[in-house]
Amino acid sequence: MVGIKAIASYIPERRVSNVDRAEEVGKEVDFIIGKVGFTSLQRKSDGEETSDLCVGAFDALLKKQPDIKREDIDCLIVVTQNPDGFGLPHTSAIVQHKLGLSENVAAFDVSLGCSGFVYGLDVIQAFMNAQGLQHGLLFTADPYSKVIDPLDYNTELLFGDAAAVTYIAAQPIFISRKSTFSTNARLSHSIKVNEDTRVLSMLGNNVFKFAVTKVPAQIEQCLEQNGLEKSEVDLYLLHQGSKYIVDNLITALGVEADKAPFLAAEIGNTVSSSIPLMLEQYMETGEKTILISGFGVGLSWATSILERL
Amino acid sequence: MFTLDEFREAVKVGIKKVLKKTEDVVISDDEDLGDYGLDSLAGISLVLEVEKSLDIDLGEFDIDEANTINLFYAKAKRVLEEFGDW
Repeated sequence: MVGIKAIASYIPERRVSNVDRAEEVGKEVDFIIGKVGFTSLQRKSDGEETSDLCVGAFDALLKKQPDIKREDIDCLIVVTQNPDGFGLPHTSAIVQHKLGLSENVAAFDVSLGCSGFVYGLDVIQAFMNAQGLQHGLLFTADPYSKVIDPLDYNTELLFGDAAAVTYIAAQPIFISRKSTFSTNARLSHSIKVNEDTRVLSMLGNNVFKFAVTKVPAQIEQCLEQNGLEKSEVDLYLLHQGSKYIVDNLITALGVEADKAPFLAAEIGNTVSSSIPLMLEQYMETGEKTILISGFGVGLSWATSILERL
Repeated sequence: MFTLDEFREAVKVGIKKVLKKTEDVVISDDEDLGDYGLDSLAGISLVLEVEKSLDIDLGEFDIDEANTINLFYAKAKRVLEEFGDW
């Protein structure tokens, strides 16, 4: 059985301070720190493509796991909705080439936003187990700076660019238990890219209401499916949509705040990378049961349980 | 269905909870909720609290356009009438 063996990430060097420009964007510093939660945002450089972020994450993975051989990689998935160019060819194929992987690689993209890591994890593990594949790479890279309106502070203060790669192989550190998936496209207009302007718009009230009502219900459902009580979960890694959302989810769930950390203050909401960026920090710590929950574009939300072996 | 008195009480209880106040909320029907300390995000939370308290669903409700109790009540009533829940 394959599972999560390692995680590495790439965070671009360019940093935009939200605190320094609070007055310029018409927000109180307290509001930015206490509610938005993102004191600064990481942004890719103009020349960096989505595939380059993936390459950066893979380079970091090789530093952590120098025994990984490029020729052994037989599966590669990129979760993104902001692919290289216009998405044709698929970014995973471009990554395969840039990483110098063999031709014997199953490579495809998964089009999902903030729920993408949870989905992607189940997709790659099921695919690899079904096909007998041994060494998989699950990339999440969704640089929203490609579609952000620089004058729309409902979104511009939230999103940061980053990529993560999750190495899937035998003798893993974490295996997945049962997951729960949900979709409601009736509210899809709540987070969307305009077809004409190609910029992102977001209805914050819809997203917040969705997050603090639907997500806790799904988490309860996932726990029940796995025969777990809330108290048996050591860590809740919730998508880092904003500090306000995470804080309200903590209240709605009734869990201790230190069990559901907000770790994206200096990076921003990195969409499908927000969960693996956090999980990377807990690979060597002792938490046995970790709940992961991603929610956003679609609207789509997904929750799963990871068990440390 | 609910009266303005019931709605006002739901708003006051909601503000107390959202702003984590210990003392009761004293606010007039025409006072700007923003002046009372509700920022845009707290305003969204307030809508949820009022929905829970009155067991209603206001759908895609934007409180920015209803920043007093009177305006909030009128808009909530209009929304519910439109969707047949009034």
